[in-house]
Amino acid sequence: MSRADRGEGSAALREPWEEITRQRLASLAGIWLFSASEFLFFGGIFAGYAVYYYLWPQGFHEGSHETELKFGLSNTVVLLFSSAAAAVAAKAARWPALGGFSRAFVWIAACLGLAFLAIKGLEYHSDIEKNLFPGPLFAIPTEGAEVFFAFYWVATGLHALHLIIGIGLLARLAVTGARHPQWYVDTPSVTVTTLYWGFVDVIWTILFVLIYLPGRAS
Amino acid sequence: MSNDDPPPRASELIGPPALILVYLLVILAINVAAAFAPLGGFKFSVNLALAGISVVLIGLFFMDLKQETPLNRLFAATGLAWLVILFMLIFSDYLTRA
Repeated sequence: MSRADRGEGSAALREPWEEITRQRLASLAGIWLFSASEFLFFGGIFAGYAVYYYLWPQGFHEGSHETELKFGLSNTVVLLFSSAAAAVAAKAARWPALGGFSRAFVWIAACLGLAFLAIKGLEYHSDIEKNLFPGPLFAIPTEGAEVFFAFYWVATGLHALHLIIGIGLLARLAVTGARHPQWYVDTPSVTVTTLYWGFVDVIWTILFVLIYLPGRAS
Repeated sequence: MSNDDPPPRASELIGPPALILVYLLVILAINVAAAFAPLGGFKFSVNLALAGISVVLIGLFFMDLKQETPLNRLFAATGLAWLVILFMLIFSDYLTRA
């Protein structure tokens, strides 16, 4: 293996690794382990949801009925397009000639993430106007509906936080990559960041079903 | 790590994820339709199963789990395995209460 193949002298090579291939293997294992533990973090919330749904199915159905499918559905579509764009960016990143192409798709993914947040903002605004935030003014009297909305705010809020971090990471990737094209080709950061972005989409795919679908048909 | 193969055409890079995206959108449409269908007690299970298929597609193709090393597939599977344990222990309590 030549010096270049080992990534020696590359700006992407970090301590403690001596070869870029090993750094890539370790980084990928790291992000998968991170995703698995994050999945369990959300898993605790899913488990809480399941127990309360079991205890108060009527309250959960009525709560879910008050959520707005048009917002949830458009956000699901936006995020699916976004993670498809991230997948294209990750594939293209390894060819120096395709750096600009790949970064264009990183920007598409990040902008769709911003669109998701904008739609979420409209939804939150509408929810607050309808008094769907748990508290003394909460709109639905059925037992369990308030718990459903506590879950709604916590889960979507945490997901939005992950999304904001993801948008920041994608933007950092595109900006640094434009300044240092060779770094962009060498670094495992492109794959790691797009994997994180895929994870954020996986969580939303599950949340969409838990939040918007139970209360649709009676 | 630079790749010495000749770069593929844009259509070769966009095509496969675009196809998976179409599948995902179709599954989403079916899932929303199922939510309005009179499926009774099965409705939520159907919704969750369809979401599960979507998650598998995203994992295999967008997150490239298909190409990953066995170690990384194991890492991805542990998240799911521990979640199953969590649900089994919780519901072995709630579902068996008198």
